[in-house]
Amino acid sequence: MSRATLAAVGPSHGEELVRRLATDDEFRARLERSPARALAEYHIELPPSALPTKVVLPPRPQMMEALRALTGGHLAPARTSLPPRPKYWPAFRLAARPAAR
Amino acid sequence: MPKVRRTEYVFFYCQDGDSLDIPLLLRGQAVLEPVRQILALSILTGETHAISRAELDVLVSMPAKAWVDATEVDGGEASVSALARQGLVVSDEPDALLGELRQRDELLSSTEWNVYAALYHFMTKWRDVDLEKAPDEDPTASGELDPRATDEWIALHGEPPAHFHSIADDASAVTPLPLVTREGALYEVLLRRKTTRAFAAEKAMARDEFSALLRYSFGCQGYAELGDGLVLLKKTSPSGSGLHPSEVYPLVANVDGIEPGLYHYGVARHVLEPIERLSREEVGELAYEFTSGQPYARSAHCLFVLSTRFYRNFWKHRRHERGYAVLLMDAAHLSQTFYLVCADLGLGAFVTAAINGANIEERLGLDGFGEGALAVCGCGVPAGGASPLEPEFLPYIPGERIL
Repeated sequence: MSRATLAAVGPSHGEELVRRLATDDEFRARLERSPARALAEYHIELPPSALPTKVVLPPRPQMMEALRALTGGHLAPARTSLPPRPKYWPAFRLAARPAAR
Repeated sequence: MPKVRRTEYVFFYCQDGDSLDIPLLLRGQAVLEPVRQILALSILTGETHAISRAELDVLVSMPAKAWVDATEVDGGEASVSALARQGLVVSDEPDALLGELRQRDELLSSTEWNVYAALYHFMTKWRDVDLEKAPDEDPTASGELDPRATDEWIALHGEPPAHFHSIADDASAVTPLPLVTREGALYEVLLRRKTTRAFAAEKAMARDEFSALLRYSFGCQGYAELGDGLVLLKKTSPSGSGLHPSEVYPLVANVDGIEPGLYHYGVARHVLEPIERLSREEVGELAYEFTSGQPYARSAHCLFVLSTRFYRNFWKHRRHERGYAVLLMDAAHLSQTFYLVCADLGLGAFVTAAINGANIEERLGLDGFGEGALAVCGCGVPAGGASPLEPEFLPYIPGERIL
């Protein structure tokens, strides 16, 4: 990787990594413990000089904001697409109403 | 020495966007910076890959219609091998993944897929999408099935475009039309057709109703022999060139006298061809998976996967730009007829294109290239009472009241 950004690993993998940092405590703990190994799952290799002695990740809400920014303000389901998949509504949910029919 | 060629089924896209700086991320900062990247869209895998300018040069310098030695390609064999595993290059190397990708490339070509149709179809196919669970990933947002979500959506994006549209500035210039009222079974059924998303799980659907539904929605009513092996079918829905490439796979949950499970509807003999016997619970879970996590599908008495045999259409409309659109229309026509027959039988019906096509195809044993899933219909005995997923529509008479 010439630049150590998520762009270099492609939109699917990059967005998935940010999503896990926003939602998955187990993965966050693993990344803090073994950054090189956890990043390798996303085909990201950093030179040792780019790795801090102690990894400190941004808090989950901040990662959720980053995810929103990366996906154009929409939270996409499991698989990402290009352009980022907008929210999909199978149906409008209605407020509860009397059962008379 | 492996031989390689560029697949014809790759597109390139230049995207401006933002990305995170990873070294800063590991130091507690989520900093977005603008990036411009070249993306290669592999139709063979349905995946998007960021590639370098050098890799783009390698790809465009390689022929798509002739094999060349991998060692002769700029960038060397290792670089080409990586591109092959991303579904951007086809290789004759004896390898399971590369063999599968080569077969997909050959299928797309031999079944006369138009490249734009293939791009749309394979890049928008879902796998393992769960619409119910996805919103939970953001604890601050209302879920898609939360009533507050509609208000939030309007607050975020403004009101939707008007429900009625008029181009007349001068009301006196319009031509009034007589308000004709027709009576009879057809018109009564047309007015009763609606989407149902709540079903009475405790009641079974009658076998005769199920059979009638299949026969009159998807069955064959006539045929015409036009030449050697060319037979056109007549059904209750139109189909491009009368080819009727759509296939139907019932997923039966609760129909009297029919074992729960997955079947194929054999149109020629009007029979169910078994694929897999399942428990009712397993059917419910499969219905949920097929419809990308739409919970109401679990309670339907039966689902019907609508697939299409692409080459049945592409055989005539070879690599045609509009061929794929016709296949989507075929499925849509069938779903409307399905709604009408359900309305006549007193059953509730729904149709959805929000499906996990890849999961469905794997379960049905379809390769996705010669035949693939397009939509899912479902039906059942309607539940009594109001459903939060079914709007209560008030009657509307044109001109009586302008909303």
